[in-house]
Amino acid sequence: MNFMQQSSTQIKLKYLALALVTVFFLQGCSSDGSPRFKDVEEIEVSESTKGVICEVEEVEPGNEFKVIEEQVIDDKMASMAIVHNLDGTVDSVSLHKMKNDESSYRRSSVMRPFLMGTLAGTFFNRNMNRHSLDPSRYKSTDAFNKSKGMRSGIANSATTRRMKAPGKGSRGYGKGKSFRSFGG
Amino acid sequence: MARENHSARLEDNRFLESKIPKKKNLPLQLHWFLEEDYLSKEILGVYNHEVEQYRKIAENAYQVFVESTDKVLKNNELIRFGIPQRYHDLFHYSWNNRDKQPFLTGRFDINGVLNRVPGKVIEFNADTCSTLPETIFWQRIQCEKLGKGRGFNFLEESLEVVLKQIFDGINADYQPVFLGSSLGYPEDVQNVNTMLNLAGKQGFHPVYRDLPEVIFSEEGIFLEAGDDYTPVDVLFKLFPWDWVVNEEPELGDLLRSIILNEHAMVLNPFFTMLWQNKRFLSYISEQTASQDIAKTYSTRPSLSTYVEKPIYGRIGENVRVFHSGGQESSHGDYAHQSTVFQEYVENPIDQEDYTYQAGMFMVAHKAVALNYRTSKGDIITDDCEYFTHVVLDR
Repeated sequence: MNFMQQSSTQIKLKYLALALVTVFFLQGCSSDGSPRFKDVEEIEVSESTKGVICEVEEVEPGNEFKVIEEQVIDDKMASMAIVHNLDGTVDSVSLHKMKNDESSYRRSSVMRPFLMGTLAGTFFNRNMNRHSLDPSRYKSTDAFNKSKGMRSGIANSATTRRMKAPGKGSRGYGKGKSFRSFGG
Repeated sequence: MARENHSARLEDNRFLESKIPKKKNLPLQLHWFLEEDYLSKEILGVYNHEVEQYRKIAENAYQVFVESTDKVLKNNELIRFGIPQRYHDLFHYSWNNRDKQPFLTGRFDINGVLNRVPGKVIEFNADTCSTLPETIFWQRIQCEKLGKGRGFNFLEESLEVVLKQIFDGINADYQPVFLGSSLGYPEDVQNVNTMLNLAGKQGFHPVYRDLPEVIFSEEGIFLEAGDDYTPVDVLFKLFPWDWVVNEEPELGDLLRSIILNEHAMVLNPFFTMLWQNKRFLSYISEQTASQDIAKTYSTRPSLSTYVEKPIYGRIGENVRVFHSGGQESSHGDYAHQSTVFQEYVENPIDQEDYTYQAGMFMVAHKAVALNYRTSKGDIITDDCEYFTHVVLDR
């Protein structure tokens, strides 16, 4: 059939189909190409409103650190890690910057996972219910206990809010692959 | 092709026989294997000094794997092994945190030894290691029936120690969820169920789900429970990292975010993608003089006898063994992959031409359990039989 001979109803149907395909692709991918939920639901999470200043000491060259002391502050956005390096230099790193721009601090890929097990982890880990302190990351039992006490204070002042949780679209990986073993 | 045999054949007096117990008396994790004609009623006798050889080879090789990984990282060479740049922080994280998120278990395949050929590791099943139910349940049950000790088999108690450490490390005021997941093949499901059984004993809440049913988001890993979601603390996966990275990159990105943000622990850790890669064996051959790992090459060597295998191949698929008189090969799903070439290390053969492939389980840096699989021909594939062993004194 010649395109020019198509009825207006047929053309409308074609545009409708194109719009549906576009919506489908937009749902599957955010503007920066990263994955996102395709079928979003809401759950309740507990989120810290306080900030933390975490003072850290490098104990082995490269990647091993211990927390010397932590302090809770009111301004969450002012949260920072103060890192005493083995070579005598000190880095003051904004946690907000580290979170949003990994290149802002040369050791982000090591420091951020380390801080997850400290009080500073409450800055990164949005749901307080999923955060705990790791005593092995502290230089002393006193430092750990002090942070543990402060964690209760942070939890008490945390707010709860509804947030997006995965829906059906974020499952289904590996469908149709059960025909063979993937062990070795 | 007629097989050349240069080494001594296994003596008949090494072989013992035990009765196969009734299915109803066996753990559920073994039922599928019984239907597959896979569990041999015969048992292989292995001498103490041979076990000691296997143990030393495996522990030395493990040390070489650790040192070589350090070298790869120091020289910034991950890209050489096909690990995309966006996963390099995840690799560093998994390597730097392996005391808290440990390598659970893997199995070295070791050729030689029983035929007096110097034993060598031919590969490390480090990421998605199987043969757990056979080793933990079947081998123990057969040894008990025979009344000749337990063989070199401390896999169950070694895994329990590691799982207890993980449980204690989570230090939760709730019962942490230990999710086991695979792509659904019955053998893989039973391997996962065996690990879940051990995790449950350590206090975890064990749950199995096929991968397609598991919910992943940047907030963590979840199981649907009615109208609610249950967050997962530990995911034990029997789907390979190389498959995730190359075939499910969206899942790879989510897992990267989940692990780096410590929403859940995923085991085996990401660095096992390197250990599973046979190109890493060729790197080891270039960089070290290890006598415990078969010499492996990235290009075809000028040897009359050698083996060609895909870098992420599994269960003996798409392997070719070249002899002066021809070649033996296997079919499979990995023909599209790059290959490496490896020196041929002859395996023990019995009087009926069956080849015996030893596997040595590692838990952390310790060799903890030995097992054998056997089949006709040089290539041990999915059609093999599982063979229990006992340790003989000499």
